Amino acid sequence: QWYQRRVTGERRSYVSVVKTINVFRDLICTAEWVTGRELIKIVKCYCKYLPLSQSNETDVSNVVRRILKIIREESVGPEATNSADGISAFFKTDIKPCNLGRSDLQDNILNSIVELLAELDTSKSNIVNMALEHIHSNERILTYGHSNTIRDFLLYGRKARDFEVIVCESGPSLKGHKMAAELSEGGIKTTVIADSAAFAIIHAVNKVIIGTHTIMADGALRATNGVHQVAMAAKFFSVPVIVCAPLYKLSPTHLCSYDPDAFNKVIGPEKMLNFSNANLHSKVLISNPDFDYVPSDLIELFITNTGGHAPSYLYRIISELYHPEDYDLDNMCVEDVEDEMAT
Amino acid sequence: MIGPSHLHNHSEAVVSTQSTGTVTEAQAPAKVAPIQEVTDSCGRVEILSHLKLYDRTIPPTQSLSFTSSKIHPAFVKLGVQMARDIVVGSNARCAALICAVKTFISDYKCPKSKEIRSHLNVALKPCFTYLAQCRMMAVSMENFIKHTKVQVAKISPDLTESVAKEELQQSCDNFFRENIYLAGKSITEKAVERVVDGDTILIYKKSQLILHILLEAKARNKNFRVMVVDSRPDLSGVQSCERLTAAGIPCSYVYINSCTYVMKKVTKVMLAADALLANGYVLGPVGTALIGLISSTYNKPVIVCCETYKFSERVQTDSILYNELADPDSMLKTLNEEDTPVSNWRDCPNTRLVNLVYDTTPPALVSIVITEIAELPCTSAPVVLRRGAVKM
Repeated sequence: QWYQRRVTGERRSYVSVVKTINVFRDLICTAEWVTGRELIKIVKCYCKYLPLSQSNETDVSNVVRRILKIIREESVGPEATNSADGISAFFKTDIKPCNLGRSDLQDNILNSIVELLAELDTSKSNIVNMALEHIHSNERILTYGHSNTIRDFLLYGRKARDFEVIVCESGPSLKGHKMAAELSEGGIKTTVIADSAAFAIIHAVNKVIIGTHTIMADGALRATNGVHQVAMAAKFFSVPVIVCAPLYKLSPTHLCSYDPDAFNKVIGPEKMLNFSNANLHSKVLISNPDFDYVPSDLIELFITNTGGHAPSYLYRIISELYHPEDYDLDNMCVEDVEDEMAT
Repeated sequence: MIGPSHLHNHSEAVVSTQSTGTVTEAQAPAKVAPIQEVTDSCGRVEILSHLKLYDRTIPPTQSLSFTSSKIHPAFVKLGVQMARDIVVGSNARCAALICAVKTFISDYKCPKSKEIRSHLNVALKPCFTYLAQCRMMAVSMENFIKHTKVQVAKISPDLTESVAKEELQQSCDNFFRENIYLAGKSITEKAVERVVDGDTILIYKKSQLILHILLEAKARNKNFRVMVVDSRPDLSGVQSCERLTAAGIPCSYVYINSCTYVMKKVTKVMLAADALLANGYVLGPVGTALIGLISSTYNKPVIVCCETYKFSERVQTDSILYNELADPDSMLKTLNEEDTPVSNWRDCPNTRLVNLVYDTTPPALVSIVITEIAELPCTSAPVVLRRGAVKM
């Protein structure tokens, strides 16, 4: 019955993430388990019910990984987590597994989950408050398509600085139009250009600020279709590309194959070519991919809720946020949590 | 700009001495200012404010009078066709201009006291001014106008009027035949050699020359696929698809955002140019530069096909110095005729729409330019220009 509470197709990733956490919170309270290990097994088992196999549900799977890490940390106990970093963990041979009973363990886990929720709550405002550090006056900023984070980022910057924004329409879906309308209502001078004009205009732009759907482990992006070529044009003219995204979008997955079909999701072409052109539809292969892979060397800076990071630093953040066992959520083999910490 | 600086104010045109000076829209009197330029700063982007933006709601012929207009009806018709995008494409527009000039010449009667070679140019000027105000002249058109001026000035004074007119019409025909028709055939011959079996060729939007090349390659029984890349707002790639599928060539169709998605499967890229600038930059429909960039990043050869008459003396390094602003409202067109959130952009002082027509591709991104004389690197453009100047 809790599966039905899982909302699929939720556009705003933050909302779906919060709902997922609530679902798992209920699961932790109601399921039958005694040790942390059993709970991890249960959580991983229920993961199968979530549409995690779809490549675009990365926010949800990231949050599940965070929960699993919380469970692991809590079941090992406070001493081990304190000394988990650094050389001392190497030499510790006799960490006693924490023998917390279920109720204590559950309380600890639930408290940590509440902290996680608080962190997610403030993630957007943390990013937005950094706007003034990254926008100077009389700038021209290029952005692509629609992103709630970027919109709030720019509107916050408008309060103190005067700048101009150029928005790329973003292809068949024309999400850029919505972004432009929202930005100009907020008092920012906005110009809408076609995606094809990105190269023409980018030399006159000071920086490119974009949002993304997912950040991959090496700093690459899975972003809206068309971002890759804007980033390439920016690189050609040495215009910095800045990505603003909260950390729950950071996923410990890598690009497994360069085959675009393994990575991408293709949606219906009715926005590209009317079905009244049915004659053509039957003869022509029309592709309307939803995502774009942007390699990490095209990106200058990530602005996340914990601050600004270079793409090369993301591996460190991943090792803090997620446990290596959880990188592959389908992996059901859960080793002894206590044994692992002891080695 | 080279074009309008040669054209004069109508009030001075017919009898008085020539005076140089650029035409500014505000000064041109109502008789020859059919298109109102949008001069208020609302809705204009600062870095593009040097480009003219025309008000498309007023018809081009509004302020032309029936009786005493100096503009020949053939040019009026051509002006409307250009303004309404009925005639598009650099070759087509030049060919249409050639027809209009020929009609003008055949209807032209030289006044008794004047010589044809000095008066004809003066008579043509208001027509060209009118055309430039309907829609900015393409480089191909500007080069033809230059050629015509030279031909008119070279007419020897002892020819009768009818013989002179015939000669001029012949030279117009020759221009078309050599520079557009035969050049097209020669380029097609060279380009078809480059299409091999098993190719996937990427083309951008609709170009008469590139389509001709592909159809010819198919006629020679080559086995290849075509990837048509299209972009808003004019979506002319759909017409390319129609023509190619009618000929039996398997096609795929994407928007320009998905160019990186499909680029892996592509073997060659063929692009058409509106002009080749003297420093090697290729002026093409907006989006060409992006395709050139993506293709060279993925190491696909970029073949640009351009006739030599489109080579221009102009030099520029970026895309916005010389460009054309098309109708911004065409960006609001969606396939389902629904409104977009910025449909009321004229009411919002902060929203601007920009619809650029051209962009320039740096020579580093282009592998080869196929012209009717030879297959050249981009940087050989000034050599061709000099050769053309010597010939004239």
